[in-house]
Amino acid sequence: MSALELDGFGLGVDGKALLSDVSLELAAGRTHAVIGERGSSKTVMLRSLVGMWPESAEVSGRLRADGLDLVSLTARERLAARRERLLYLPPSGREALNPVERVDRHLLDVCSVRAGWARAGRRSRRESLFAEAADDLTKLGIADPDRVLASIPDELSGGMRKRVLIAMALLLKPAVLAADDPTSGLDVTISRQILDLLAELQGEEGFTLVIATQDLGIVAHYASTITVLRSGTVVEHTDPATFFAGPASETGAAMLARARV
Amino acid sequence: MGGGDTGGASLRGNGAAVVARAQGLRKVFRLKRGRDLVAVAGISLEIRAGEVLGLVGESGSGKSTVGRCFMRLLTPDGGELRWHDPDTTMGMVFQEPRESFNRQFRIWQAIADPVQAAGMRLGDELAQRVKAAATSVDLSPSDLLSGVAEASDETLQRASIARALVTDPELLVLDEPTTSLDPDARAGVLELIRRVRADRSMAILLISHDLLAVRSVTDRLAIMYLGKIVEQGPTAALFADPRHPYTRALLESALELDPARPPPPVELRGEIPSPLERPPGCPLEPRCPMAIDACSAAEPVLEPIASGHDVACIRVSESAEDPSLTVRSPAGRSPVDHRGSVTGRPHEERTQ
Repeated sequence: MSALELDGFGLGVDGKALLSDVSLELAAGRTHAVIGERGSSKTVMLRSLVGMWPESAEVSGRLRADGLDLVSLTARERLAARRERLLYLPPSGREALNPVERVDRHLLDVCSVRAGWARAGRRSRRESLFAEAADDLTKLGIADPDRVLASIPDELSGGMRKRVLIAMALLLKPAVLAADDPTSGLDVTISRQILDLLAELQGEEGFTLVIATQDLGIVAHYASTITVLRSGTVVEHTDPATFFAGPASETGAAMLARARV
Repeated sequence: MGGGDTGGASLRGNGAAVVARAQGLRKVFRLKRGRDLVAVAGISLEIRAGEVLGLVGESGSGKSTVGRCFMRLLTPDGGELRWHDPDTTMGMVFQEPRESFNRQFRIWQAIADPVQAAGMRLGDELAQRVKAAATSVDLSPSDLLSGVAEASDETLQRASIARALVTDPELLVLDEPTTSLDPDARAGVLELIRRVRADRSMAILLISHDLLAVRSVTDRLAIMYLGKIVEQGPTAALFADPRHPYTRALLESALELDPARPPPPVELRGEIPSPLERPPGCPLEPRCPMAIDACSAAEPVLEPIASGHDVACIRVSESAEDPSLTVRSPAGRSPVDHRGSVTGRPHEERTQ
């Protein structure tokens, strides 16, 4: 079954095409890599997969994510879907977290979303969700959850901020998790820890993981499919074994050659 | 750059002239409320003419602080720092090219700046110097005329290297020169470093967090962790026979470009602690898969295990005895679980 189906999908802003004629099917419960050089619209692609585009964007074609026809939804409906099933994991915890709010406030905010704003019994539901989330932090490799919960983002390391973002994402029980450059700015040993963590969580929770990266090492060992983007179009879509045996696209071949220097 | 006899009689290396040497170097940053951050906790390092020394460690290891001490941008708080000549000329390439340039300058002005600061007037000689430096890093005349603000990251990093080379330094310090670049530009800059090494006989200190990236450009490597050097030696020896658990972890973390060769699990636990909370004894002990009780008792010192190859680990003899501990060689490596094989039979003969 496909978690993500794109058929002639295109997205433009102010008359400039950022993605054009993208047709893809990405299987549910697997890890998919989106690679491409800087400016190839990897981030636009990942955000599109979870329905994140401005209202003014010109959208064409079809995009089904977890059974939802995103193109036909209103901005409000897409936002609702993002709160429950489709999640974008931003590259940098420094930019994505509120610098003046403690980590426990961030988690509580997400719990509020899940508890439903207007529902009765919201407060107690929110509290129980938060307690559950706090208990789960050790599973995410956060050894001393109490200290982390009481910290503001700047007091944490890059790896720890990333774990906090993942904790917030998991609270929403996503069906699709779009991780944008998940190892950016992290040291090698921490990068491996984060990748292993995402792979392990995927095994437990069964979400579909889409990773955008320029690091072909990640692609070789964590992805089951590779999509190569060039200027917003898909130039190659294959599996890692085929890709590393010899990329079919010029962009893929150039990226692999450079990585092997 | 004739050798160690120009004023620093103490600087004798084996073979090539030692351009700069640190002995027991310490750097402590005083923080508020009387807290001391020990960034460099006593390291000894030699940089020789004609070699590229790679200083490798993750963020927080103190490697940039070491580079800045060598550049006299920071004053050490302990130990000794010597240059072969009190007037040793130095150049530095900073991590963020965009932040290390005056945005009002054109590229040629930025490159000319260090020679002008040293007193040379505008004129033919200065123009020659700038042109020569620019040529050696493949900057075109039109690049030289473009403004800093409009230049790409890669052009700026090339200009940054040209700016460091324009004074023809004896010591060149490169602080993470490829980190902020995309893979395309990174390959170009590494190629450039290789060329600079081949063309000139300066001593180069290359600071990086990426062991694999510096493999092909360095002659020797020093691995830093929490302000200490934990292993150092010739690059080939370190890759063929990495003996410190931290060096091994750095190698194990690397992901090979071959789906058929899965990487071994990384055994290092958690993250590098804050330098404000240095663990007693071996700095790696809280994260180390090989740690035994004795590791937290005293800080291990660097001891030679082969010619020019030093390791600071009390369990270094075990890691050599047990073949299952041998980390994959760069070609043909397989997943190993060395936690099981080590804790299964603890050795205690080298406890101190």
